Amino acid sequence: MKLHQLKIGQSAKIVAINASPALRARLFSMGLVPETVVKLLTVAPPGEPLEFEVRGTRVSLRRDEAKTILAEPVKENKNG
Amino acid sequence: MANAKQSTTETLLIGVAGNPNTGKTTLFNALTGMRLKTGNWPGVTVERIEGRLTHKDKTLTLVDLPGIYGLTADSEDERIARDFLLHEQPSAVLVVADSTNLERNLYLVLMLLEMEQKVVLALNMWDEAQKAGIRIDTETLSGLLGVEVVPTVATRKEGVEKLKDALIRTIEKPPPKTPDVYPKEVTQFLDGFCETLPEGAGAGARFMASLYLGGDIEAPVEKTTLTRYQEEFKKRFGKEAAVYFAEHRFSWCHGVASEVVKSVLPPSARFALTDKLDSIFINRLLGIPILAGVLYFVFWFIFTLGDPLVSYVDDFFSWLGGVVSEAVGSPQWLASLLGDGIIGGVGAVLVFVPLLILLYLIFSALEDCGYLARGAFLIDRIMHFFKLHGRSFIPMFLGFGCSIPGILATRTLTNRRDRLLTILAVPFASCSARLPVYALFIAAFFPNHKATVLFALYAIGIVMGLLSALLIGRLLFPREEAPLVMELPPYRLPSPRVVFATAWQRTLIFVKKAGTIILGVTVLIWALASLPPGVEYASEKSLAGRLGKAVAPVFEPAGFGSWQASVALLTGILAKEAVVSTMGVLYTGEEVEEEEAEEELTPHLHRHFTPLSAFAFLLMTLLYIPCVAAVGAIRREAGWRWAIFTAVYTLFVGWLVATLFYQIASLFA
Repeated sequence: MKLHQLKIGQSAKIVAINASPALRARLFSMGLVPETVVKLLTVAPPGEPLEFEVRGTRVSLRRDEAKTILAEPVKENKNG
Repeated sequence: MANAKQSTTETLLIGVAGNPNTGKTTLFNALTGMRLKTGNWPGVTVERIEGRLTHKDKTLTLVDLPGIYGLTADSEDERIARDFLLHEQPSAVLVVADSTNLERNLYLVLMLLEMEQKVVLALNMWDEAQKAGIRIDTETLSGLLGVEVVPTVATRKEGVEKLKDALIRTIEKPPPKTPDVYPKEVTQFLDGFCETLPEGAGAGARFMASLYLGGDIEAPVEKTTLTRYQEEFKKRFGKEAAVYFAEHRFSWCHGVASEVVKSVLPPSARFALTDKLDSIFINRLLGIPILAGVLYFVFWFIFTLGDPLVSYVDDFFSWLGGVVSEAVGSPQWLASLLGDGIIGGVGAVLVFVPLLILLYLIFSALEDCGYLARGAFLIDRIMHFFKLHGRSFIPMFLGFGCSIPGILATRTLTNRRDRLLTILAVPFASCSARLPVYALFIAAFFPNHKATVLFALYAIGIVMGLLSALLIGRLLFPREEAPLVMELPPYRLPSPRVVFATAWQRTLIFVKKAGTIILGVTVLIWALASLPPGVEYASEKSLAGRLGKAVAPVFEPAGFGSWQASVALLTGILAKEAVVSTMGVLYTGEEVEEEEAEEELTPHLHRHFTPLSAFAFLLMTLLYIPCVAAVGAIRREAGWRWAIFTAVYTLFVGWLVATLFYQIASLFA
């Protein structure tokens, strides 16, 4: 699945990121690297951006940005 | 500023780096006591702030690097930091980290160590970490990193002296050993790749090699060589280099953090308050109404509180100008130069100071407490439609009050593309100085459609601003993405001392940097309107009048080809409301009080304008060159080239829209 398909409160482990090099570098430096567990916290009223919990921080992404991140769902709270 | 007689002692350069929202600038100010020197980074328009610090007979020059999360990206901010480290070779780098979130902050520390920099780590917001039940074993951390670690609370200046000691000690030691993050085969592979690079295997070469291999930045080697190494890397280590390095770096950070950080409270404690507040502030139903309320408050705070202060300053300078003119008496040109030109020009700069202080106060407070990021989060969807960032919204909104606070507020945007495009869009939001012009013409030509015409002007302004951002964005930055990827920091209570200090510091910088151009253009326009000696101000025989006559035919197709209209527009560059007073002088031959402008000018306007050309003239007033102070603000935020571009672009758009309107409307009329 891709990160934008998460339900609110659901966690997933990042498998791969298929973004352009510039976007990928940005995502990496915010802690969004493969093997990281992230959790969808909120979605802004018009359906984006999305807010994720990433390594003890809060990061917001647009849908198109979240779509570049491949992840597999995990059970609650194995924080990465 | 403070470099007069210190050239005998050697000054040591220190870079101050850190993630955004770590209190880096606060700590920087606490260390340097705000004796600052500002300039720009080479080739870019990001401000470079330096401060000095003398400790134990050593003078250190601290350079505040842009807030960054890493050093790998090809973004302006990370490039600045990288170039600084590589080319200016600082004696040490102070990294300011947020103690409540060590893991992510270590990522930057690790890269600096990989670059073989001498690092001192300040664990800032130490008090907050304590409160959240986070305990950090600084000794073990220091051992693992090989650098000195100092807990600090920048807002209360705690730990600052220890930090100074640590800096002095670190400068004298050799750089720490680079941590073992990758297996030996990988470092050997990097060394092999380094040999193909022109810079060879110097300090930090492996780190740069990892960036080239990752495709993060352009490599100084043949493309085929690079591809060969990249493919070889993937074959041997199973992953693309960029992914491999990012993964290993973060797993190292995670390892170190797990070893030294102990939580005595559940990890959610740190976000307990933030979660509670977010459930209100970014609530699906309440979020937008609250944002509207906050924006209204910001507007009220800056303009309702500021406007009376602005008129005091304005009145003071008119009074002073009058007194000086009278005191000088003759020759009349000199009296006028001093009174109207120079004192008027100084007044034109200082008149904005109350607005700026208020803007910076409320802005620093909103930024520091974390709300600004939430506002951007809520509004991003709409701004993204015009390829702008969520944070572009607030500057544009402020532009309705006055372009200058709006332009200066674009500082909140970290991406250069977003910042430049927002700066371009802000002046199109109709500022309050344009109202007197609208009021005059609307009363004269559209007395029965006041609200409609006014609304149309405001709407056209904002639409032109957003469309300009979209169009110019496509033209000038065709391939650049403008991702959102934004951190939502925890809510924090801003420190009043820091907020006041920031407001004051930024206001001073504005006066210094934008002041020159505002003063210069004010004197220039004074000269045009008053020379040759003896002419009436801005009259037909003045240089301005002659210029107006020469230019007038250009505006013929827009319906207002009289030389008076051109001269009024020329003086309107000083401040848009000057259009009214200039028309007063030119049409009636004497100065007209603002309150009487409507009554006295209406018959004259009817002789020179039709309703159609009047509306075209209003469109021109709305859109053409923002006032000189706004251009000065653009120069301060984005540099000369962008300031000139904006002036020329808006002039053209104003002319084009006015002409198109007049020509098309004339067909139907």
